[in-house]
Amino acid sequence: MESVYLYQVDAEKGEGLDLAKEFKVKAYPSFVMLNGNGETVDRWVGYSKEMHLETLSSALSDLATIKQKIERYNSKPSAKDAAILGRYNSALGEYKDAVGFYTAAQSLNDNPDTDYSYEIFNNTSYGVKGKHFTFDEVTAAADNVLKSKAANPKIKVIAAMRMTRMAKQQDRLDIVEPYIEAGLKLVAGSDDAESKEAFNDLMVDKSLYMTHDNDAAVKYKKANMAEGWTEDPGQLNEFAWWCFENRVNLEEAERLARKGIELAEPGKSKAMILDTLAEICSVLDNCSESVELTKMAIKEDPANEFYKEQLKRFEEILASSE
Amino acid sequence: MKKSAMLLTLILLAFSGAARAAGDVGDVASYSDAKAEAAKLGKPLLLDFYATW
Repeated sequence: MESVYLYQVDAEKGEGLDLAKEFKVKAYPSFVMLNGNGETVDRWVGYSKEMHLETLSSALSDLATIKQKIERYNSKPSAKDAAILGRYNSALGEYKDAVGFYTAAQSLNDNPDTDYSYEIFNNTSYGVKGKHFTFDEVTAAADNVLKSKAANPKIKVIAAMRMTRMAKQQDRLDIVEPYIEAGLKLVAGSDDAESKEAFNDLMVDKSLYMTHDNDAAVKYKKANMAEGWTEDPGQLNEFAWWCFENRVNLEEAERLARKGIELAEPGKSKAMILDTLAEICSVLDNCSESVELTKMAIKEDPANEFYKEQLKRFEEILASSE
Repeated sequence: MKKSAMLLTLILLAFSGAARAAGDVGDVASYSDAKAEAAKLGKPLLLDFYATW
């Protein structure tokens, strides 16, 4: 495979600030491939090694500029060009156009092993925030992923898990059951670590949203925590925050958050756990301690305006309860 | 407070590792140097935008 010359740009520092603006970077990590004339050949946003190498190989196999690819697609539409243009628009945050191109790729595609239903789902779900798509359209796109004969089972599990998360965010827990059950069916009995992790995650969701068994949810959540998590302040914070968010196991969460505070290095990390404990104390009707903990968080991370807003909020709750 | 920013950074680091595995990593000081180096090598230039918080 031909290779590239890679230049890594910290988009939040120095020349990276202007470069990120020039290349309209919307998410990290973003990759932009340029030819010798500085023209864009391809671009994508991604996060897994497997996907990156596959995309890079695809990009290197066709060094026509994006402008030429658009002209080529307009004169003779092909599934390959439609998919490249879908990827390009997705990386630019143009989710409506991305869905349009991926939908075209799906209908032009004649390779039974290739499937774009996940890309359509992915971009539809991203487009909800900008109101380009409705939640019902996302649900329909997720259903197409699960129905697809060509979609990879791992992709189906990811779609099922993302739908559950999205349903929670949209306050639509009434629709999660088929996704949780479909995900569980796909990973049940698999021995690889990824499948076991997905199984535990889905069982957490099933316990919380379907069977309403909080003890089981905590058991599966703990099963997915990294080894040694009870001695790691970041992990203790993650677990305590999860308990707070779901309003489960709050007594143990309080104890573990206190342990996390003891173990944390001074500064931002300690401030985060202090904030977690402050939230837990507030839920446990101990808002006077929430106020004190938030004052401590401000001392640990004085530049963070969020903690000042939190202090105001806890002081108001305390005043209204007195 | 949820530690989402840090998780994102970890994903990012893993991803940058993958990027390194797929090409020559530019040991140059600026974008214009990177363009010149890519042209000298006759290779496409891949910009990898990341952020650290």
